[in-house]
Amino acid sequence: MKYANYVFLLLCFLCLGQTRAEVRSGLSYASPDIQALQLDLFRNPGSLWLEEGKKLFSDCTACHQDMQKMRGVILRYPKLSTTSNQHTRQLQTLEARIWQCQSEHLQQKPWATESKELLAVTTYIAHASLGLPIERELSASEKPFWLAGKGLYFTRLGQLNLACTHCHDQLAGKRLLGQTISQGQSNGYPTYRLEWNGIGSLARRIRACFQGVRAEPPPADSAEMANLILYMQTRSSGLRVETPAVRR
Amino acid sequence: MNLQLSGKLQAPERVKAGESFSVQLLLRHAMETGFISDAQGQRQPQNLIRKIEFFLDDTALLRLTPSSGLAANPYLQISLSIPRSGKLICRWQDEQGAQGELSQKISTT
Repeated sequence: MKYANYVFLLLCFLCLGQTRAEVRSGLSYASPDIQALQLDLFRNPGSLWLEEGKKLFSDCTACHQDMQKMRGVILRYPKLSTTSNQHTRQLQTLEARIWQCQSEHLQQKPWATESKELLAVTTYIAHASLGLPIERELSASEKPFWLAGKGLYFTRLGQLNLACTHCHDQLAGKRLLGQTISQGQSNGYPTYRLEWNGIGSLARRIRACFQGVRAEPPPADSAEMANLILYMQTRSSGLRVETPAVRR
Repeated sequence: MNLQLSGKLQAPERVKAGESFSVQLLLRHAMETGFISDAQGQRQPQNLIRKIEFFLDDTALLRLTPSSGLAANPYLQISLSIPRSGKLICRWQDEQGAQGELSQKISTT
């Protein structure tokens, strides 16, 4: 069974090489109006979350004084959590790392997933890396998590029986329900979506995709979600961080 | 006054007296129209920003009465002119009484 999975992945990889020519940010699929909205950092509505994130981050400055050091941090997540026991090490998203900081160092109740405070702080931290190219080197211990995420990306799911790859690799640039299908790159998250009237995390967007193919979405804080986000991070190699991006 | 609402204001620091200049305003607000239901099927009560006012110190400059046509997190670009230096103050209020205020000093030449 395991062997079959690897063969399947290999085949998918070969197909991928033929169908996906270049990595394109979702920004290049957006209308000129939305592009202008994203690039003007006063008008960009995501900047409202940045202001709030800056205020909330003042609690974190006891350890993280220098915001310059936060530049590049988002590129390293999800990463393996720091515990002494090799076997309990888990893949940790930026959100999970903030929860750890809150409970271990700040004695705060961790913010809920998708709460406005958590979104504000993750947006603020991701924005500190604005313009940096995504280059993710995987360590040997991260590889199994990456493979699991990649497996999920290529697994057919739901009543529509589609995998991520069918739309976002094979049909990117084509039209679906009056909209252009993007490559599903993660470089602008957390992103302001006009449909949501607010900032949302990558996990929220992925869950919406799962619902779109009528599959049961994994919880935002699940291991599956972290694996998938790690794979998507490597998939976005070469793109630059755009947070807060604006999408329709 | 209870200032619960946040936003951003951008205006030039120096302007010519009596000449128009551009002020940009971005407000954080859901602008609930009253037509949206939540996940439990409950209608969200209408709650819109219904008053936006600009003052130069204590002098009223402009009053806007937006309605449901304005999108969530509205962005506004407004032309103003002022006769003298002072503090440009913007105050806004929604239907549930929540308020916000932003200000910036402007000097005239």
